[in-house]
Amino acid sequence: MKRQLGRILVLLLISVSTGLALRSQDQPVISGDFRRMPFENFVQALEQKTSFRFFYSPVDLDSFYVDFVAENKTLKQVLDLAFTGTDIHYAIDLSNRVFVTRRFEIKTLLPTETVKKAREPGDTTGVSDGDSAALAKTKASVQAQENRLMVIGVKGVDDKKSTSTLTGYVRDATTGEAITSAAVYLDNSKIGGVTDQFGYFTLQIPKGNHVLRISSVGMKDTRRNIVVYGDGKLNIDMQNFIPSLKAVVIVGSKNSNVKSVQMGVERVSIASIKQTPMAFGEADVLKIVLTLPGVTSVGEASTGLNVRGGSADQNLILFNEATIYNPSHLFGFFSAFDPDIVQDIQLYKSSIPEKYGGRLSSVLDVTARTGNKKKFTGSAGIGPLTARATIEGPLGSEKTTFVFGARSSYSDWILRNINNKAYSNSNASFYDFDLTVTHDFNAKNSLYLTGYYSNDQFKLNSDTAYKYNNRNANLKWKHVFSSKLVGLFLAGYDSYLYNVKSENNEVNAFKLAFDVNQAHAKADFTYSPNAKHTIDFGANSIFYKLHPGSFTPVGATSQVVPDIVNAEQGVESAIWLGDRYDITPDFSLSGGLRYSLFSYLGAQTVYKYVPGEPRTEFSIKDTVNYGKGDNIKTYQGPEVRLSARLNLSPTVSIKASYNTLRQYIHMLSNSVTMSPTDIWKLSDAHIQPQTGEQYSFGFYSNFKSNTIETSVEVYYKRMEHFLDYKSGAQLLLNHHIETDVINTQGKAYGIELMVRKKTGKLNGWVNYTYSRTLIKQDDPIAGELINGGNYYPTNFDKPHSANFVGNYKFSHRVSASMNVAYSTGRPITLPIAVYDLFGSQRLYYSDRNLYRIPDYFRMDLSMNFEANHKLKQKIHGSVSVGVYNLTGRKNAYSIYFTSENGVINGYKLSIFGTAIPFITYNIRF
Amino acid sequence: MKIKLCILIIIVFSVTFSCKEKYDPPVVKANHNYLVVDGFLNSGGDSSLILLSRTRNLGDTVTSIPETNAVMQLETDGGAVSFATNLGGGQYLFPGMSLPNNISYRLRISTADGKEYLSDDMTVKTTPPIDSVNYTYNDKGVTIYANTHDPSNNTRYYRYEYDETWEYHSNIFSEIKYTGAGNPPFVYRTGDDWIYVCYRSQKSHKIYLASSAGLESDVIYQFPIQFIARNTEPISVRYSINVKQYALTKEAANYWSNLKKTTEELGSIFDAQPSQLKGNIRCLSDTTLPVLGFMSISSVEKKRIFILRGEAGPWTYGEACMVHNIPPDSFHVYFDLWQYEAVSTHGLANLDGAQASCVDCTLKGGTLTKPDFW
Repeated sequence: MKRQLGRILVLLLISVSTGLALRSQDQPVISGDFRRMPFENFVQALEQKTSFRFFYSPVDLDSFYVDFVAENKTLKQVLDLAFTGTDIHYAIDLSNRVFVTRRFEIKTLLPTETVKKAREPGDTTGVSDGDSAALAKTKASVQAQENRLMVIGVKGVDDKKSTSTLTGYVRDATTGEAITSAAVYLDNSKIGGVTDQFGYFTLQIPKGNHVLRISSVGMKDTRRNIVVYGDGKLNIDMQNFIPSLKAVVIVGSKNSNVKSVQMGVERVSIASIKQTPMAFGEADVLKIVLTLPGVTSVGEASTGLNVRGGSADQNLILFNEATIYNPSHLFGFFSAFDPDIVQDIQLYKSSIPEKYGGRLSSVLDVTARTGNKKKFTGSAGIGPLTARATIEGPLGSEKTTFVFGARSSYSDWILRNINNKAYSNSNASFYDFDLTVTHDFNAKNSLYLTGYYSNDQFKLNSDTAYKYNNRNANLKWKHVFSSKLVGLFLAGYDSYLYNVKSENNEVNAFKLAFDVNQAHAKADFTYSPNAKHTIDFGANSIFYKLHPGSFTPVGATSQVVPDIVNAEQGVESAIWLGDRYDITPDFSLSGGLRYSLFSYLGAQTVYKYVPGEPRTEFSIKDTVNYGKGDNIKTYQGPEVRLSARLNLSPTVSIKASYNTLRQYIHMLSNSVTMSPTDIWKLSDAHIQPQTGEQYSFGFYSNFKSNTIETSVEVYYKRMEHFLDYKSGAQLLLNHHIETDVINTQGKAYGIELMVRKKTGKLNGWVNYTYSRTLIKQDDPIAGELINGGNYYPTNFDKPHSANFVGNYKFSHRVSASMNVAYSTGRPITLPIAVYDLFGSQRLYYSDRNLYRIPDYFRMDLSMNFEANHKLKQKIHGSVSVGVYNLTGRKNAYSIYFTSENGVINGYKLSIFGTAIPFITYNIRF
Repeated sequence: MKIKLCILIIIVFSVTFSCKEKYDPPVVKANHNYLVVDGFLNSGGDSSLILLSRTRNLGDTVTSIPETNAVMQLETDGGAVSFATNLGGGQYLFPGMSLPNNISYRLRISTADGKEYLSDDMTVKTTPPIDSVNYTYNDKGVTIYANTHDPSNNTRYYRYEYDETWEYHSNIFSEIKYTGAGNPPFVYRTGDDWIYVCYRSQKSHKIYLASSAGLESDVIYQFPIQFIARNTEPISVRYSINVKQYALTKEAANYWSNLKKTTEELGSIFDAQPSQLKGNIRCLSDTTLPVLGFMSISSVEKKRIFILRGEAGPWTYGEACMVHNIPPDSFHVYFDLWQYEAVSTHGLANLDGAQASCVDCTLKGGTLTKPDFW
């Protein structure tokens, strides 16, 4: 008789779940000589003598012999004799079936509490929160959970439907924190999903028996055996991968690359961010994004990202749904996100979900951790420039948790060491705070509060003081209407401001200030009617208030004439509807439509220009004054988000997507890098919204049990109304900025190759991108045809780019990381000759962006040492030692020309002109 | 668990970060040698001076490379209208021409290296007269404005230049001149060798553009031309400005406007993006070869005004100067070695003297020659 333990287990538990008690008193009496008898023969003998049927794994028991004589024993007594002193367990159910297992025990009964709960309609759950928390305490109990059968729904209630909805939260068993982006999927099937930012998932699964697998980066993979009768909930606790101490492991969501419908999504956990060597030894969220295919930046000290040929302002950077306008500290040496607070980052670069909008290139979604639910913990770190600390824990009860992080620079020594007088007389500092508070009212209602504040100030050449800060706060309420409908309601406020102050000369003392503020609200719903559809719909609205610039005197003696550019107002609203439709398990379609509407509002003074003339100060014809709240100009349009996935085999898939996007707020930057003095500008009566469309196609294949992921993605993008600037444009304090900007059309295309190994002693990724991004300005109305109206490269066009990020684990305590980056130098416009015209010396420049700065190459190395791995230890320390820019290559940051004694000379400025050793000490307590 | 204070180890490496290196990309070092055409063609009967030169390399110490052996002519569809005279040093002079404004003209240049250059078709723009040049003043200084209008609404784009000239005086009037020999060792100055009254002239070197393109009628009202800070030399005695007005085509206005905007200040991390300018002159044998400058034909209108000290509010100007009474045994030291100038005598052996800069107005850059129009 062939026995299939797994299959029977399910039957067993179904019968158990009826809740009947085991009656052992009616059992037959057994006698026999079982000396030196193979287990298989022993079972045959018993089956002949009784009505019991045995189920076991022959592999487990093929070398097992029984050796005893039984006389008038019950079956239970016989089996006890046979197995006492061994690791073999047995269980007998109501249908006279005997289950024999080695090393683990089968329970044929669930705790009565669970069974009772299972009968409550609408709130059926296999394991309650309390159960799971208690069980998670030991490794053995986790195994027990994995082996137990969870019953979802009530048998016989929903018999008409073939599928049911399973929802639940995935949490960290130790801290109770939500685990985002965990993959939850059924074994041997293509049904699966990913948890949202709250750790919440919704799956449509056929009725019957399944093995549900859950995996997430940095956590141990786990599984649940489930039997589905109807809709229900299942919360899952995952164990931390302990040897890592949150810092040395990548365990991928295996398979998700191939199976996800989305394409062009890059997901990186903080664990892999932390092990990559960085300048000054500090883990940096944005710097790691730069090692992903399709992402570049213009220079070393810049955190402006260029994603697939988009400009830096075309990225929506969200920190727990708060828009961060300036994601950098200290001229871009650091990113605005405290690595101890971040849980993971997701970068959407081709199929952008319809719930996101307002930017053309990408969405970078940075998710903060939710606090430890069980106990107060903290961490701290110190590097050559910054110190940081985090505390987290429950507030009052396990229902409320918080995480608070703070970071500050403590030294100006870097600037003093820069070999340039302008910098050595300078000082710079920054700090940031972030706070997230989570409160779970009950299983259906949760509240999330996020606060973020960052401040940067620097003084260049001890005269002019620059200061900028981000302030963000939002409140989210998540409500589970039913297992099929989940709603998220959000209201928040984001603000970014900078000011420049000079007080040295009291006659000229001035303050130059700028800010952008937005109040926003959003409602987003996810509806999962059945296994084939997942519908997302919602609406949002953003009210913008910008102060584009004010120049005011400081002090009573200042003679500065105040110059204030009118404030700008606008409202951007959108509604969206999207559906993910799994036509077959191997073929999925995801389609979304977003309709956005932008109104530019008064009070405002709008200049009218002579039609058909270049827009210059000369051609201003009229000015029109609008009152407060008057609608000056409205732009609107649909945005399409389409993507499809076809699985060719369990490890090979192809995906295609088409996206259109619209952007109503633009950054005006006449300098090459993203600098704090860049101004944001709303679309107005003259400046049209940027629009873009992207076609992309990808091929994904995984090898070696999904531990090696490879992908090839190609894309083609078109952009309209991309802003470029006239020669010598004045952007600051310009009351009619439309005279200094030009509309361009852009196109970008590229191919991205990626190989990623997520597990093993050696892990990491290597990628290569070929991409171009070109714009042209052929509108004669602008007055000036840049490069004769032909396509020219943008400032951030870098055709070849390759990255290697690798980590090798020598032991659990010692690992080495290496980071290699190469890219073509960015384009530059060079002055190529000097001449005299009209009595003055002038420079003749090449065509715009005709030349390039030298190629970029950098190699970094670091070693990480963990102090020890005792779980009970109160303080865990780790040390990172490394070298940034190992080869000491003087990568060009900027090429500039300066007039010295009437002679013009060219210089190359490198930010890191040498190899930089660093050491960082981190503690957790 | 309570949070404990922890002792942290800091090790700071002393390293040098940023570095600046000389950088000369090959394209910057290449000898481009592009032709530069500077000037304008006067259609109003006056002669026209055109300067030809070559671009220099960045880092060159040479201040100018004139194009000396070129041949230049103005032509129409019917052939050459006028030839320029080569004055040497890269200067070419067209004699006075009266050019009708109903036909188009081209400037043809043949350079010594055998290349031929031709301008685009140019039409003659007639410059309307300057209505007035006036000024306003406040405690900061004096601003000078130009006003004009074109009743036919045809001109629209204007460019201005100016020459300014002013009379100024040295602080101390010198009535005698030390001669070093003879007895007495000085002569009285006559009006011819006074060094008290000087005249200084300078030309505008910025580009002044005005436009009425956005206006209903073609009027330029109070276009600011020049600003003179209060209590400076130009209005210390008498000041004069001669404003020149040129009508421009739209294309020419664009060229000059872009040239004006292109920044000449370089060198910081937050540099603006400059870009290229395309003029209206091409090389016939290689149309991709850049030629710098923009040629246009128009008449010139001029208007001169004078401002006397006191006409623009109170004006104080002058340096503190000391007069020393110098005995004969110190004449050599003061007048020969220390470059003092003798100022006056009181009929005694001693002479009054003062530092040359207080006495000799030419040392401040002016000339003693009175301009014709003064």
